[in-house]
Amino acid sequence: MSDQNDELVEDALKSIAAAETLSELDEVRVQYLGKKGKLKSLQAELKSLSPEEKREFGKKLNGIKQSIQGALAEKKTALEASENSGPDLEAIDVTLPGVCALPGHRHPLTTTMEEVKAILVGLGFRYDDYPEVESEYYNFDALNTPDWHPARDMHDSFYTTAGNVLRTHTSAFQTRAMKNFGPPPLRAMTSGRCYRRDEIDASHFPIFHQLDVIAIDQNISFADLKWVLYQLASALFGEDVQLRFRPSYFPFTTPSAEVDVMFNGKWLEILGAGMIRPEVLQAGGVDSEKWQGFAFGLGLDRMAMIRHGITDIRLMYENEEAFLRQF
Amino acid sequence: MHINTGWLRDYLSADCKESELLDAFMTVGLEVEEEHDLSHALEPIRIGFIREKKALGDAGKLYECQIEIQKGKLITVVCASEHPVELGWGIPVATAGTKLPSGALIAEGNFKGIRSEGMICLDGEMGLIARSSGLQVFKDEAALGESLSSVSSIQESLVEVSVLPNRPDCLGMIGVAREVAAVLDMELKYPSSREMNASAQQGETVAVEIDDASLCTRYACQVFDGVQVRSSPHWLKSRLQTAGLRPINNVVDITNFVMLEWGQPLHAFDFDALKGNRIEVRRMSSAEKLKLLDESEVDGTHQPLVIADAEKPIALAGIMGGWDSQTTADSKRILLEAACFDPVCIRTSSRKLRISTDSSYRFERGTDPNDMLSGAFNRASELLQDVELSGAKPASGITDSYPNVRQRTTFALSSKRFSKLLGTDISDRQIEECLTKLEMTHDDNLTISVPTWRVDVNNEVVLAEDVARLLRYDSIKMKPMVATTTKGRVSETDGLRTKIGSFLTSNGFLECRTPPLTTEQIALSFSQWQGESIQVQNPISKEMTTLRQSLVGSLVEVVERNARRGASSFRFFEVDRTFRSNDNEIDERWMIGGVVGGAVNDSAWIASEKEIDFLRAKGLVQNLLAHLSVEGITYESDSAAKGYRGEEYAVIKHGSQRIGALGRIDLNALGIKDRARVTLYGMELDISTLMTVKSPAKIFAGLARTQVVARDISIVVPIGLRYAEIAKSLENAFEAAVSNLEAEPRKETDSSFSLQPKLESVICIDTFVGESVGADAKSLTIRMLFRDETYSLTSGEAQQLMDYVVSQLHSEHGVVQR
Repeated sequence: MSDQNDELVEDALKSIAAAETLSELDEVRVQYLGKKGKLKSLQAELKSLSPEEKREFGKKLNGIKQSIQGALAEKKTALEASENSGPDLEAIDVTLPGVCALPGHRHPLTTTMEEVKAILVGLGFRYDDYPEVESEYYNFDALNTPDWHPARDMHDSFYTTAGNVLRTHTSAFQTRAMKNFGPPPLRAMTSGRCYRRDEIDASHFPIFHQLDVIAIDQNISFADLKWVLYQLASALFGEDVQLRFRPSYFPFTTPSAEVDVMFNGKWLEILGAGMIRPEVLQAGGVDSEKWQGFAFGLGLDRMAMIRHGITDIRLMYENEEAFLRQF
Repeated sequence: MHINTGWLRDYLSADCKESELLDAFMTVGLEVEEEHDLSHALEPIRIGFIREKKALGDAGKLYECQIEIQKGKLITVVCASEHPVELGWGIPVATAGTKLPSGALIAEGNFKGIRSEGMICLDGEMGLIARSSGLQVFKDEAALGESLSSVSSIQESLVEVSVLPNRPDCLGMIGVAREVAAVLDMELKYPSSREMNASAQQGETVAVEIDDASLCTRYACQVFDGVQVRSSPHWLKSRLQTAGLRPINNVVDITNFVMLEWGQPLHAFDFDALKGNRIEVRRMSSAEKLKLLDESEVDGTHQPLVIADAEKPIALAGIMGGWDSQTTADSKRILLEAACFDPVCIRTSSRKLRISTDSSYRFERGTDPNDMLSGAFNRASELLQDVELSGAKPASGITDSYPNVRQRTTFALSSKRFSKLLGTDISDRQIEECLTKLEMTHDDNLTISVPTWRVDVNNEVVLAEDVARLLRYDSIKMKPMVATTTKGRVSETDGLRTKIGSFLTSNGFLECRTPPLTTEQIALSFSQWQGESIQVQNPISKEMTTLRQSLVGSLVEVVERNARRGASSFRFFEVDRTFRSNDNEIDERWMIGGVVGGAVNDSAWIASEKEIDFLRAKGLVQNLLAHLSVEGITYESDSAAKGYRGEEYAVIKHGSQRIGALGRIDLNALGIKDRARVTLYGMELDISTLMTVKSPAKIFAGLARTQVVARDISIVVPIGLRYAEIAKSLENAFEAAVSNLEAEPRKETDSSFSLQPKLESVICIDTFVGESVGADAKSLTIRMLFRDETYSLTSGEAQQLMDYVVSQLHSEHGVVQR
């Protein structure tokens, strides 16, 4: 009896081990534990036993049942695991792209312009707009550049049929700002389009962008100018930025300087600066005996090109999607 | 201006490294456009040996040479016989395609049917100053095919300097040398003494008459006899060539050389071509004519200043000499002239006559009447008398007309003022030292006397710059700006522009920068505001003639450009000014322009067929305006501006104020070929008007805790009845319904109470046009949300309200419920 039982367990465990699929395993389960299973037929023997034997045999039966059930459960887990190793149709591939609209992009010129502006606002400069269709007076004369002055040759200007000039530089705002905002202290800036009759090539476009700045107070000096320019440059090009100041000439500043930045191992010209000429202060209604200050102006197109490695200015005005989406 | 550093060293007292010299240019403020280290730049020049040489043609002016440029490789070069070459010589050759440091490109030539494949290079042509014959000759065959720089020691550079308009004194080697010497702590070495030798009166006398001394500050001339007009020596020729001038004959070359040296133009007339031993400096009369050296002819229309003899104009003052009085090979006597003219007068003539020369360029920037005679004239006179050159002898005294002697200007300087301006301590001593280097003089009280060649020094700040330059800008240490605090801020409109930009980019728009100066067609399309167009009187192309009145046209061009590149959906915007003029008042109006078309969601890889239509475009505008806190906006049909299609066009208004437009774009009307093949919508909003109507900070309205009631009504309305009108009626009807509402009793209260439900929203959720509703009707489904803030409404109360609204709509518009 006992041997018989051991044999039964052994056979059952063998069959369980041999089952390759869940349904085969289920057949084994039915064969042993089902209504007409082998265990049931053993149970039938109980009836014919004495109460003592019954208890003994019942225990045994239970043991047999448990070991078979245990083996079945173990095998089932194993089979399920192997069957589930295939694709789970409900699981989402989280690496698929999100469903969204294509993002928009700001133009590199405006982002550059806004960045420079934000730095200067932090340094106490006010930003305002000034005319693009400008009088010759504000664009030239008020900036110590009368009609006969050879410096006018540096600007080949567009004139409107009504005799106005399309501003050739944002510096045209200088004496307007002085007049608008009354006696110093004054820190003001503007930026925007400028126009010159340049032939179009990789580095020239007849319409370009500048940003111009003035600061006037009793003691604002060339040393202060250098400091402000370092603040600006370090915000744009990093803390360890190197600048180089070269003497230069603008009719409306003296001393004047061209400022170069060291970028990728090369000196690149980025802006012109200087101390505002007494003549210009006077034209702005500011007493040059009492007040002094600096002015500087930078080409935003060039700045954007340097920062983004853009090699041809025309790309910035062609507005091709493939270009705009890169910034 | 090209400057050969070897030549420049003629005027420097001490030697220095080439690199120091080049750095000095920049330090002192001479703008270096390009610098060519000639030992490097002449790398492509090879030594070739002349293997064959035969005269070409009968004139004997040209030779055809066979030159071996590398072992076994011969090329044909046609050369002028002016500089003799011999068989077996090794000479520098530039083959066709070589670029010389001057910028000249050697091209293949064709002379009398012979193809010339290169050029034999004289020193000057390569930018070098000649050390001997002007042509470097190598006899050792080992040099064959070698680079010139490897067989000849070259230590010169050719520097392209752009002299800024304030410093005409640097338009000569001496001026440049003075600046460079000052920064390198050297002395300037003048080429000749600046002492005038009193020349005895001899032979001829020439009278000089200046009509208007304000136009001609000084005029000096002298007759020279026994002039031998011939080719100049190589040292002189090569120097002219390095500066880009062509040698002509020794007399002309001397005047040009002295101009390059002193920055003072000179002229030599053939004295025997002049009449009456008399020079007049006067305006040309309108009846006169003058043939110039370049064989062009000017007349007296603009009455330019001329030099005339007793009978006629002989030169255009300060600009160009006359043809008939030029120095030729046959000239025996010449009249050497030096003058100083009013810059504005020369500039005006030069501009009006459209003639610009090396001479006018210098005069219009300002020359020095003092150095004119003692420096330049003196030097030219010495060179003319040099037997190596023309061996001429003075045949008259110098006639010198100088009515108002130009004095040195003086400035009483203060080191305190300079220190304050530069922001660093500057001592009297430093000021004196720096300015002395520039040949300024001073007294014990720091009163500085400025040489007359410094025409730019009209204010003491220029001297502050000179001091700062010579101390070097780098020596001025930056220091944190200590000044009165000022409020930094962007303007309100600028802040709004930034907000607009970020909203639109968040909504998938690409920002553009398009030229405001465009064609008249594009400039005036889509324009919504009255005003004359602003045209440019001197455009550079017909693509850029008019300032635009609307941004949309330019954006449509952007769409077309991208469509050509294969794009099929478009979202572009730009924020910029538009321009018009009203009664000569210029109106620069900031606008937002946008163009959209194509797929609603163009990157959705989960297929979406939907395309942008009018209402979707309007939705974008609505959200933008909401983002900007602009409320109370209406959209009205109107006659469309040019470029929009009338059936899908709305004027955007705030009250009676127009703030913009939205509409479907009509490419046909713009004459643009439709490459995009999608329906495009344009929108434009006026930022300056938005500024005036945007709401202030919003006030919290409280939160209602009762339940909101939603009710939909489906109604059939006459097809012409606009939704805005129905919605308005509906709101009014709801208000009336509330006043008629009878509250149902509630458990929680016994006392009487009143309900004040408010309509929170009215949205159209469906429209339908079709047979089932009849031909002149449309069906609308409108969802209303409403609630009372104190009591939740019962369904019976809600029904009362809806019944009232429907009956009201029916009696007002004949609307029936479906």
